Amino acid sequence: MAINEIFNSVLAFDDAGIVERVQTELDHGTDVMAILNDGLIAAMDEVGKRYTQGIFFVPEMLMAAQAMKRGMSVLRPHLENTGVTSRGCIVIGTVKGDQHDIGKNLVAMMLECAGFKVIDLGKDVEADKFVETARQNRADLVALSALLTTALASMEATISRIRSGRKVPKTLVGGAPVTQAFADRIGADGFSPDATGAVAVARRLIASHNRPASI
Amino acid sequence: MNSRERFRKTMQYGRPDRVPYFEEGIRKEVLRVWRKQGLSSEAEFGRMFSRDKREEIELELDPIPNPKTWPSSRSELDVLRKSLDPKQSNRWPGDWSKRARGWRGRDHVLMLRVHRGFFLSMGVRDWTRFMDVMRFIIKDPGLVRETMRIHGEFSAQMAERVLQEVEIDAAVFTEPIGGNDRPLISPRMYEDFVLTSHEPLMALLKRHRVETIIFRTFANSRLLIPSILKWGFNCLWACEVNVDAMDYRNLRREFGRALGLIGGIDLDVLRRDKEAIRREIEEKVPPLLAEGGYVPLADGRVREDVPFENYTYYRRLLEQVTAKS
Repeated sequence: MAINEIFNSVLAFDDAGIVERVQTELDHGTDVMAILNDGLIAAMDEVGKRYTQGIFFVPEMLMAAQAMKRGMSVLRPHLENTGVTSRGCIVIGTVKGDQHDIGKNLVAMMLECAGFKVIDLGKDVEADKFVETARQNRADLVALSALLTTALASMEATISRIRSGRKVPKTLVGGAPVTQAFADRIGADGFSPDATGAVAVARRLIASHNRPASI
Repeated sequence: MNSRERFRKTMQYGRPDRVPYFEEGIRKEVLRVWRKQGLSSEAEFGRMFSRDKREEIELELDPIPNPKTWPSSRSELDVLRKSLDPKQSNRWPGDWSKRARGWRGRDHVLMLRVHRGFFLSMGVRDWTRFMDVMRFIIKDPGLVRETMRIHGEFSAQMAERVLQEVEIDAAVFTEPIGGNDRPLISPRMYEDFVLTSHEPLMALLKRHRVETIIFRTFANSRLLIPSILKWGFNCLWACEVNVDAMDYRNLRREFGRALGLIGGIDLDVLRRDKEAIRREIEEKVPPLLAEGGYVPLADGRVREDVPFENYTYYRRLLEQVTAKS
């Protein structure tokens, strides 16, 4: 059995088969980090590529993420033994005044699949809640979502509140009405139009952040 | 020319006396805020701008009773089928016949909302059901197809009762399917699951000679436009959009008169300043008016964060620009 089969299981949305395949690799003594990086995370990177190319849409992306998470559930106890930590801590939520969370949940799931620790504050979140949670967890990044155009003012106010702090985490914004121009105007560090792009932007922002990533 | 004639003439690419001015769903709480910003009374607001009244018949298209759990297998679809019965009396207001009579001889625009879109039809009200539906699309597409087929037939039966009694000016399919960059499902999936299920509705609308069939969508549904045109839609009303992706000038260049347009003005500029509003209106509206088949309108509901001064400027400028065109 090769790690390649784990990779393929994610891309085939085989959430039942992947459990068996990850376990078999572990039983064969394959390096845990190799299973994680070359099997599961590499597969999710491929999912991201296919999404960007317009081959995959949200259903495929989510089913791949589900399969990846099933594989991770087998791998996680072994990762804990290696002392491996996350690639960075991200606080995420839908801004105050907006009750929509599907887009935010998609992004949170993709960030988790990419190895980040994600603290999900849910929807309709006050600016202060983002700031406080980021401070308590020494977050590297705060990710804000909005679906309604009317929540854009709230997004702007939240960014302003985050930036007024002393130790300022990076910020990432997204959601149906959000554009790069809007993100620039409100002073967000990053913008992504989709969940897979959010992973790439988070990696870049966290790499440039003061606190080094662990993996 | 009354509002109804004006709308119909516009959507036929004819030459109305002016384009229709629809209102952007301004609620009382907005007017209360605007009272503090210089609006003297609600009545004054009604007199300030030219307006074309538009009414929408909203049918009760949810299952009755609402299911505790939505179908997760084809064997559970019978329950859904029984709860989507057009003959259920509580689907129709008690004064339905009186209302229907009242709409005859009207001079305002009357639209009929005939479908609530893919996700609501599949019972998506939260993340858990959303995940279920995503799974069905991949693992049990037959269930999705059949659920949508049941909704399609039911919606057609509901619409038929209306169309037997009332002549409408447009049919509206509401479809909140877009993300920032694209629809959540692919055009192939959308055709397979959704547009196919609209066949009974489309046949009905054709029989009743409903000329304007509107795809009212949210965010970025750009990729679906070729598909909806193929299946009989002829008008787009895009709300809460990513303005770069859904720029109506580009859509007009690409789809020409095959696609009538309602909306297209970025609501976000109304929150900003007069210069942003002026640029938005002067750059976008005249080229679209020149071609016809266009109703200029902000792409979302105007809420409290739009200053009254900005709204006034926007509406007056819109009237000036459309008068010139």
